[in-house]
Amino acid sequence: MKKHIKLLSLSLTLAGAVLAQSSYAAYPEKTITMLIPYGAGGGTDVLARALQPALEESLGQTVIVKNVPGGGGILGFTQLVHAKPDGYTVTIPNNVIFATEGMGNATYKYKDFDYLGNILTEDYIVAVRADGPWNSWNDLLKDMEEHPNKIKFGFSGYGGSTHVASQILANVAGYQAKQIPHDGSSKAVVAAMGGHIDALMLNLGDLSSGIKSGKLKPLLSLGSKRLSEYPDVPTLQETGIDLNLTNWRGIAAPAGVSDEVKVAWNKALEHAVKDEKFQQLIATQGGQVDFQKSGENLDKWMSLLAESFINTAHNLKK
Amino acid sequence: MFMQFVHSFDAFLEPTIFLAIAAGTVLGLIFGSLPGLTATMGIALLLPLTFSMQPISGMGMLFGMYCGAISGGSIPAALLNIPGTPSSVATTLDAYPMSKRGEPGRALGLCVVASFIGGIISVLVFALLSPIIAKAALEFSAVEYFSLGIFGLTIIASVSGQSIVKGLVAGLIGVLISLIGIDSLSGIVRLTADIPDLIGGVDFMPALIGLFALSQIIGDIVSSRNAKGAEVKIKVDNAYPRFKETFGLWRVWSVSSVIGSLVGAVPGAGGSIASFLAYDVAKRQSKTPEKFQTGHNEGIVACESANNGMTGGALIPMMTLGIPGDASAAVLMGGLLIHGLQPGPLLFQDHADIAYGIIIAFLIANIFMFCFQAVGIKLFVKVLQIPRSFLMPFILVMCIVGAYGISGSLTSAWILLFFGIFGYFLNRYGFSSAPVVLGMILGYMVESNFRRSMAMYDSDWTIFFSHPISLGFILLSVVSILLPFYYRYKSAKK
Repeated sequence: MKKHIKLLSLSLTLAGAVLAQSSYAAYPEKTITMLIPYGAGGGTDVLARALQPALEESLGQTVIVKNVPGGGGILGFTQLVHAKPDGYTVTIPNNVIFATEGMGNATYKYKDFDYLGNILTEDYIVAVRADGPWNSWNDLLKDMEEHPNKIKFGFSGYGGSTHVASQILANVAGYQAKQIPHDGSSKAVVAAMGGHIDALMLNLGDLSSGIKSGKLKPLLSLGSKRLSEYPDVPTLQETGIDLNLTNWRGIAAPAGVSDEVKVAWNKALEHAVKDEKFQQLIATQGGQVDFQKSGENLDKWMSLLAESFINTAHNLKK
Repeated sequence: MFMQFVHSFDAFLEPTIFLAIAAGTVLGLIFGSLPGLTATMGIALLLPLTFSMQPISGMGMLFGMYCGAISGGSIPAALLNIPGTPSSVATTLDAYPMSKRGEPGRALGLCVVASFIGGIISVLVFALLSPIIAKAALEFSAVEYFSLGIFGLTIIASVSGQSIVKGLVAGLIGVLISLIGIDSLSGIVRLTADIPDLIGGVDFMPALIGLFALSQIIGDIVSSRNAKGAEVKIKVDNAYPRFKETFGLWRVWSVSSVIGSLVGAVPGAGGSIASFLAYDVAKRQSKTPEKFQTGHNEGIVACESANNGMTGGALIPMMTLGIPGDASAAVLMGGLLIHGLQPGPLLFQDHADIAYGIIIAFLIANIFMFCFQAVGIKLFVKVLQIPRSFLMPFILVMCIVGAYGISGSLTSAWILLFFGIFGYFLNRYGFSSAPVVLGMILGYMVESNFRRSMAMYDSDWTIFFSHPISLGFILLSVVSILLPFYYRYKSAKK
């Protein structure tokens, strides 16, 4: 038995060596840790676990998913920026890193991350409880303009990405609502489904079960295009306001990783997002696969988003 | 609907499904019985494995892990006074005193049967009453959560041990601890003493392990220095499932299982609240309330049927509304999503065969859980024959590994150490740890939902009395506080 194990481990090492040889270069030569700054079972966690097999196949190394929940993501992201920029510690970030930087609770800056690629985008959606009197975004907007601070407007957590997004919307559209933070998106969805709050701003994935059950109605998308699933819902741009906001999820490492790492991840991600089952998963979660390689374009998009989130979060704090 | 139900049995012609469920259940029992490893972690670890399985096999394996872990948590709770999972904290109150006085086999035998009953009742509740309960769960807003939390805090009186004052002090400390970290209503960081790792609050699991496990190890070390290391031989009775005794307590398990299922269905309430509530109710209904916390069979049966009753309850909002009832249900929901199944009311319409298949798999998982445990208890009680001087170092290592594994940072190990020392002093001065745990679970829930309600209703505090469910909880709280005084008055008059 012992002999077999020895043989097995030997052949595994050999196989690993061969795989490493045949790939572009030396990276990766050991286990890669994926820090998930949220608890198990959340959207990001499920995404990581769904990516895991395909990434391992392409990178030729084990990928460990490690949950570091707490502080709305702050803890995990802080751990990441303090890790060595050698490509063996990565995370799946989203707009939260910008929002938390702007709120001043985080010690990292968005430039402390190297963005290794984008995987998907998720639109911010405004939905209302279905038994309410609002049938369109204009109805809701009119109500909010005529009765300032009457509508109860929910989102995920204070200073999180959906809070900042709903504040940005309130600023550009010029209304005042009671902004009600919840402990996580699912709590906000329950509150709206039960009719305890009137409207809410979340990403489509968090809303989909509520919308499909008929208890929530989507009224507005902050994305650049209409949603394929709900083509009747207008975008903010169509209402005459030139702004689009989307959330995104990709892979990031501590700033300063080598080009070798970037190339390996570009290849691995490109391979992973092609998987049919993976695409199906993203679709059920309400996201759209939007693979983008690391590079100037991605960095530019990130700094644009960072700017608007950080500024608004700053103002929220005042 | 009936035909769909029958058709969903087709999937079970495949024997691999049973293998998958059995594997999940065994792993669950192991995860549950090791302090520091929780149901949620176990399910998350198995999740990628289910990726390539059929939906029913995959979900069956995850459900096995879920039931097994919740039930397995009672093993160390009964034998060593160390809850294996948060939901078995209340189990320690009676199961440990019972095994300490030489009846560990009886304590485990009761746990096994009560868990099984709770599990089966929760499957039935889930299968038959989902739509009604899901609708009721939606009635809970910040207002109701606040009042539920207040009612929960009155349970401190039931679990304080000899002194109510000491219980209240311990409970308040728990509440204060729960307030550490970022406040989700204002984004302000509170009580962290500028330690960045506390921004997310005090990790519950390491704190729990510290309070219950490490505190005892410290106690052992201190007392062994005094007693010159004399090993006390613990008497072990026969270990077998106690059917007759458990079934005889039908009022306890029926009420507790239903409480478990209902509390489980309220998103965010969780298994530990369910078992504490059931314990409280059982004590109030009991003819011999003074026997509780001294190793009373009613206390054990109440907690164990409630926390396994919770498992089915937590699945109700997850499967019918797409809203997970607790952290474990959240990961289970991830499992459904990976298979392209969107939980929600449409799940039962579009994928009826799979949805009903999952319910059957859940039932089978409960049966397996019972069988493995019934066979295993003879083995489990053997743990007590290991001398404590060998056992405790092993548990210490498990504690530290578990605490470290939860967040992967040394902070958890520090939290473990801090709470271990804190728990040692609590024990030494006659405070009970259970109220601290209750305070930690309920403190933030009460505080944040009070403020959320105030934000929603323009600081009008009368809403707590005008919402009927909330008013009900407030009245229950008042009764719960006044009842002991009334009894004392009545007995003084005699």
